[in-house]
Order: sequence, then structure tokens, then C-alpha cells
Amino acid sequence: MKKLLEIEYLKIKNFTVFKAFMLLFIVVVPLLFYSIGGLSSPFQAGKDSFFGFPNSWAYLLYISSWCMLFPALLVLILVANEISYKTQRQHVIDGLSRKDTILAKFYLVSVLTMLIVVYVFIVGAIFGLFYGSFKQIFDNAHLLVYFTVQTFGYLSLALFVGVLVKRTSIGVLVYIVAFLLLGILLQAMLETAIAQWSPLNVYNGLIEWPFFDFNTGNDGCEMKDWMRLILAILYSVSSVYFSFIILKKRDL
Amino acid sequence: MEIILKTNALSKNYSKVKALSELSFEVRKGMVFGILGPNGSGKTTTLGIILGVINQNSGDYSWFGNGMDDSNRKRIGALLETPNFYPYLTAVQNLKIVAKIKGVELTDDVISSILKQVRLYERKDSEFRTYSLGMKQRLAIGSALLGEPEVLVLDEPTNGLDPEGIAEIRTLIMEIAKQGKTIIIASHQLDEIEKVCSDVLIMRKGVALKSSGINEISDKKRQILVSTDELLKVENLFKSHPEITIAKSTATDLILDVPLSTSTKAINQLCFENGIVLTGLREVQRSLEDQFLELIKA
Repeated sequence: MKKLLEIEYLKIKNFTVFKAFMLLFIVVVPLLFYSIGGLSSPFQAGKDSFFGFPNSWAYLLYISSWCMLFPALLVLILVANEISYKTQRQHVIDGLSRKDTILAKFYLVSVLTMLIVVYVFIVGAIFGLFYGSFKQIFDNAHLLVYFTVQTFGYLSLALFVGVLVKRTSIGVLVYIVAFLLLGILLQAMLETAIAQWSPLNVYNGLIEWPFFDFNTGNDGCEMKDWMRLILAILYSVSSVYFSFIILKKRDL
Repeated sequence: MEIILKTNALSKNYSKVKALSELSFEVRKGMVFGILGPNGSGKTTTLGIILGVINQNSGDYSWFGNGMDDSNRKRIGALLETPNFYPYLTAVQNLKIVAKIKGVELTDDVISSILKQVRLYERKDSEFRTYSLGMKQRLAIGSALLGEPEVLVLDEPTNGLDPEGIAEIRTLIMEIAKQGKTIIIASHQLDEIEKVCSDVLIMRKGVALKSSGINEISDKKRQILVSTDELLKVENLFKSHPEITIAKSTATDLILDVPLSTSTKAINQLCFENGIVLTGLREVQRSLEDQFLELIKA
């Protein structure tokens, strides 16, 4: 594991796109959070309640989940580049197994997920402590677990799309369309009861804007939070597993 | 000599196209083994399979007698088709990744020594994307040399290079061969194989046509050039000698394929006894190209 992570680090530490996308995420999340928190809207609480615990987690994590497009695209670019540069093939020639090449990306996705969650936690904690009381910091903190699963889900799906599509530009296009539109399209085309099972809708549903709960009412959507969480984990594991299967069967 | 690589009835189909058919061959320690064939003969597919990046449909192979285990490849340095590196990284940064994969301790001395050997030391801190094709090819060979592998596998190592680049790569390969390393080279360039290799496998349409020592291939038959004003008489004379065949004929000359045991003196004697006066008689060196073309046409 250590060796594979060191190899991944050597690849990304001088990769400008990596720095740019991560910087974008780091800057956009607090900026967007602060900007939206400053708006007066009937769909959100007042400023103190918005930034303070325990509500801040739900708002911040929802905003962060939209910003997940940046790290997800980054993972996709990293994976698809390996195929288009044929470096993945060269790694196998140099002695890595095909399983190692996917494991390396799985570890990268896991580490990125951890870093993102820690960063978002720090942002939330700073805002929360500034606008509210420390005592409530862990109220609603279960959402951080949901956010961790959601982040891992988005990134592992990006890994799968990268392996499947192979070409960076097409992969990016597919993922953006899927990330931004597919969930909405499925919702519009299919019964909610069916559309809710699609991977992106499952991931999206993990963190929701507190004043909207799309999953309540009489629309046939009955998925419980714990069910959504398990399904999200299953989809994520499947993304990594099928990436490996594709890579194993494919001529590199 | 120890067997380094043994393939057993390797076959590969790309949908309905048969790229390899029951290919079996052996490479022994210290050989410079050439795989020669026209484009589409299955050379790269063969190397791709033995390097673990192409899945064969049937058959198997074994490196160092250890089967198809992934860890074997750490003892091999290889360049398949094009040099594959991260374009945004420098030569040193790219080599560090390869070294990590191979589990090689990459000290500054090792980096300097490798980059000096492939004449890239001056450009060690330039990004790979800024390199010329020849430099990229040389870096790939340098990378293949990392960790002092026992075997070097090179696929069309001089492809796309200018004459100077070709000469540089050939010199490099010959220097490496002198160190006693086993080298496997796939190429469609006859002179490359002839100049560098000790043994050769000739392929066409995924099938092995011939495999033997390079000298053995060139020397199995002798060619003799006969010049005379009585060509018709000579042609008729050799019709009654099935061991002698006419390889080429011009207005005044004939090139004869004769067994190794037949000397120019014997041909002269035969013609003299049949009243034919020869104006010229000499032995012609049969090149690998002649052999290759003969096999391909057959």
C-alpha cells in the first residue's frame, strides 16, 4: 500500500492540473459557503443559524458535495491519462500487476476522500466556532459520515468512468453530464421509486439541503437513510471492482 | 545454456483476425534474439503477451522457468512500441517512478550513470514532452536498463529515428549485448536484425516460419554467380542436377543456389566437362534479406 501510494504521489506532485483542481476545491468551498450564508432566502436559516452548529454541517456538506465535481474530474483525468499516455501499460511491463494498478487508484481515491473530509470538517469547525457554540459541534456530525461515503462514491464512480471510457476528454464530458444532469433526467423520465436507485441519485440523496427533503411525501420514494448509505457503499465497491474486472480482461 | 523464455503454442485473435497461431519458441541466456517479420506479422502481439499487457487466447509462456508470474517482469527491462512516460515530468522524475515500481534504489549516481549511458544527462531536468523522438526512445532504453535487468525486450527500437539516431541506438544495443545480457528485439528491418542479433525468429501472419542462429540461416545454402555467353546451355545442364537451382537470371549471369558442399571449382568442372565456357564465376554471400524474402514468398 505504501509503495503504491508513493508511486501515485510521485505522479501527482508535479502535475499542474492536480494542483489547480485541488486549489479550486479548497478556495470554492468556503467561498461558496460564506457567500450563500450571507444571502437572505426563505429556504435557509438566518446567518447565525446557517454558519453555527448544528445546522452548518448540513449546509456546508451540501455545498461541498456540489464542489465534488472538481476532485472527481481530477480522479477521472488521472485515470484516463494513464491509459492515453500508456503509462499504465508501461507500469505493468515494469512489474506491477493489473490489480496493483487499480489498487493504487483505489488508495488514491481513499486518501483524497480522507483529505477532503478533513478539510471540509476544518472549514465547518472554523465557521461553526465563530458563529456558534463548541458544545454542539458533534450534533448532526453523522452527516460527516454520509459525506465521507458520498465523496468516496463520486470519486470511485469517476475512477470507473475513467477506466471505461479511456479518453480523458470524453470521460470528462460523460462525468459532467452524469454529475449535473443524469440524476435530474432519470427523475424526470422514470418514476421516483425507480430513479432513486440510480448510483448518482443514491449519492446525491446522502446529503440534502435542510429545507428541502426530496424524499418525503407521497412520491413512492421510500428509501431510508441507512439503506441509502449501504447502497452507496455497495455502488462504490462495485465501481472499483468492475474497474478491476475491465482492466483484467482488456488488452492494455 | 539456461532457458530464459519459453513460449508454448501462443495464440491470439482480434475478433475474427488471427494475430498469432500456435507460436512456440525459446530464448536462451546471452542470446540477442531477433523477431523479424513484416508489419502485421504478430511481433508486437507476441511481445505484448510475454510482457503481460495482452491476454492470449490460448497457450502459455514462462520466464526464467517461473511461469507467467507478474514478479518476473521486474527482472526484465522493456520498451513496447512507443516510449511511455508522463509528458509533464522530467527524465529524472519519470525514472524515479519506474525505479519505485521495480523496487530499485535510485541514487544520484545511478541516475547520472543511466542518463549518461543514453546520452540524456544534459537534458535530465527537461520535461519529457520537450524531447525529440530519438531522445524519448533513448530515455525508454535507459528506463528499461534500470535495476540492471537480466533481459531487455525492445520492440522496433529504431522506429521513426533518423540515420544518426538509428546508429546511436544500435551502438547502445551492441554495448549492452557485450555485457552478456539477453536481448529480444522485434523489428521489420532486416539490416537491424542482421547487424545486432545472434538468433532470429522469422514470422509471417502470426506464424513462425523459421527460428535459428543468424549465421545458420544465412549459410544453409551457398550462392554462386555464373557468367557466360551460353546461358541456355547452362540452364539445360542444371536441369539434370536437382540439387542446384537457379535463383536469379539476367542476360549474361545466373545466380545458382547450391548445397554447401558444392564449390565454385565443382561448378567450373561441371561446365567444362559439358563444353561450356564461363566468363565469370564467384561465390555470392546470401543475405538474410534473400532468406527472408524467400520464406515470406513461400
